[in-house]
Amino acid sequence: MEWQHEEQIRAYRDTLLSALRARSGRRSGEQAEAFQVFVNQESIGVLDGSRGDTSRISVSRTRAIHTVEIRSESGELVAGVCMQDFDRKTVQFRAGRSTFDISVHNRPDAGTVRVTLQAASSAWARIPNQLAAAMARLSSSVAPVRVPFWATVQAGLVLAVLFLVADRFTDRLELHDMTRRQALSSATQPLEAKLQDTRLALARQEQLLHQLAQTQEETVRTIKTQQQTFEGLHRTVETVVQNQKQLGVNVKAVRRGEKPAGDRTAQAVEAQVNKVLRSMESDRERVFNHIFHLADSQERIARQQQKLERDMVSLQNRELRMSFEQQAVAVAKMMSAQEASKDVASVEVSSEPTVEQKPESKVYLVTFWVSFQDGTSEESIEQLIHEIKGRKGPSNAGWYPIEVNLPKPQTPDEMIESLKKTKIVKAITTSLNTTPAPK
Amino acid sequence: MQDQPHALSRFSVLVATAEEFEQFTNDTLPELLDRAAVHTRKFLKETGQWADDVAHEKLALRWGYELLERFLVCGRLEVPCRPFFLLDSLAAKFFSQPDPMRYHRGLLTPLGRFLDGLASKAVISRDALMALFYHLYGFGQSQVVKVLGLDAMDSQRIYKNFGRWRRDGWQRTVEEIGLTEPELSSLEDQKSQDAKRVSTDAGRLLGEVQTHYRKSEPEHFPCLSGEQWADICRDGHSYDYRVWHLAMCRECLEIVCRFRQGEFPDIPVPAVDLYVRPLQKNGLMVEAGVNGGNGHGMATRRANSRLS
Repeated sequence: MEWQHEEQIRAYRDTLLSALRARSGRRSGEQAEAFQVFVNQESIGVLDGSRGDTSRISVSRTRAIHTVEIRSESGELVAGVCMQDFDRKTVQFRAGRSTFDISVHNRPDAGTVRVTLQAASSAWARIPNQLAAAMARLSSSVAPVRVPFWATVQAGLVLAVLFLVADRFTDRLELHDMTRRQALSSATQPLEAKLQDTRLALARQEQLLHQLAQTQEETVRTIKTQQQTFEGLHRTVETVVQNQKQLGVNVKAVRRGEKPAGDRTAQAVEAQVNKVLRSMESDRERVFNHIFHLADSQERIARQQQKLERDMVSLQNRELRMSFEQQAVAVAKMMSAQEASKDVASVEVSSEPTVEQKPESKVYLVTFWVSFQDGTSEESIEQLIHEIKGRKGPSNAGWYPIEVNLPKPQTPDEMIESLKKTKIVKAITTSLNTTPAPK
Repeated sequence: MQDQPHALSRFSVLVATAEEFEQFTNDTLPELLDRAAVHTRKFLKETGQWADDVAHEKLALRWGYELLERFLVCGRLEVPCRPFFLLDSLAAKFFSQPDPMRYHRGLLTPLGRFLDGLASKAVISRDALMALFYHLYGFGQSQVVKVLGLDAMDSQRIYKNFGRWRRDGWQRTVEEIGLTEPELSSLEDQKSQDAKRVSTDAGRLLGEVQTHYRKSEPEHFPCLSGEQWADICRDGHSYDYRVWHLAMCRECLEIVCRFRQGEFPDIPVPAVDLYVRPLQKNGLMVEAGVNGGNGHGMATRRANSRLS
């Protein structure tokens, strides 16, 4: 039983292998009429290969396209494409006389397929096409415009004329036969009757000829009208073609960077335009330069302005400081004048901090006058001033005004007392109005 | 049996051109088929649908064959490649799709395999699609033409479909399904002995099969109401829908046949009547009585309704 099963399976396997080999052998020879197109194993439509022209089918899917298969009506797989998720392929297959162009594009958001069938028709199927082509060529000799519809109409008219001519010819033959028959029967019929018959026949022939002439005239008129139409169309097409050619030449010339030949006006206009453009270009460059320089100047001015602002601030500070110093001197003078009667050395202490003084530092400006011993050199005086970190003013009758910034812990009296102990100091006073007697 | 190193070296062979690919696949066709069948067997085992019997082995071979058919066409475009590895990736990709194949234990019997194989082929072959009308309901070409409401040109196409099917389509399909002559004869015998039971079994399986394979044309999957079908039959539109859906849906076919009976009394209400072998040329061939689709409520077909 097991053996039978294996035999059965082996036979089936051989059958399938034969089918696969036969399939590859059939691939190039089969000519199907219609082809079914499958995308992701789903049928999306049929391409008709029997028409002998191009058929196209396209479809878009919201997901990626993995397979595209084209099968004949018998289910034969004639073409196929396998795709990755993000992939793009354009391939061509031949199946018999037909050619398939398959284009697949998988994007992240969608997949699209386009299948085009270029069907080459059989010999019998090609005959109507060849006839149509021949008619078109024939019509082109009358009118260069190759319009299949007009060619067909014209061919029909030619055929109609030929038919009428043939009809006329046969009628003449019939007339000849009739005349001959009448001649034969003349011996048996009365002369009057024969004459009547002949007249009737002639009238009928005349009527036929008249109709034929009318038809011919109409046909000729129609042909002339058609020819005029064709000529008009031809002229139009020629104009269009010339325009297209001119356009093509111009486009080529423009592409090559050349000017179209033979168009002086256009050249002049173009030269003028170029000149204007060049001048505009130079103007623009000049304007740009100006703008650049302006910007540069503006920057420089801004820098200078900042510097000036800084200078002004420092100047103001200096002026304020000097103003405060003068005020302090004046106040000190006033205070020394008030306290002069008590004959006690007092110290003018500035009530407000100077500009440089920070309120938190508690430094007091003390001004007093010092008289030095005779013979004291300026160098010794300067050294003393330097030691007490003071500033010396010009001498007035042997008195030197001295300003000292005193830190808070040291009082003016302490400093004056310490100065009095210096050898070179003869006397110290806080006001010149009450000049103390030198020691 | 090949020695192992030689087989391994063949597996990793690199082909550079389409011609080399064809040459190589021709030489290694048995190995490629076995490999594709192995992939199928693995898929069936992993999804709990495998049993060690002839039916399952044949199923694995058949699906492997279909995979290999696609591989032989698509692989030519993937050069340079290693064909065996390319087949592996193709199989993996195919079996990773949702519900890639129809599996039902009832479809592993000769009757089930016949119905399944026929419908599977009908998805990709119009010849098989038209032949379904005969194999399932016993309709001849003229009846198919009338039911579908085709014009003269399309009725000729039906005759061509039947002709090709009779000539080699049926034979090829039966071979691909793996039905042997004794199995076919057995089916015929069963029908002659107990036609009602066979029809009942076939009808039951048919619902499963048709519903599954109708998915391959999503646009034409849903069934229509009686009014919609009457509208289609009167106006003659939706050619593709008529042809595809009626062949793949017994319920809708019944509706349409009842509608057509007013015009063509010879059209029966379709009942499942299994025919194993194709319609012979001297069988029910009757010239179609449809007058070009006009005057019978059958407009002419949209010749290329889905061509862009």
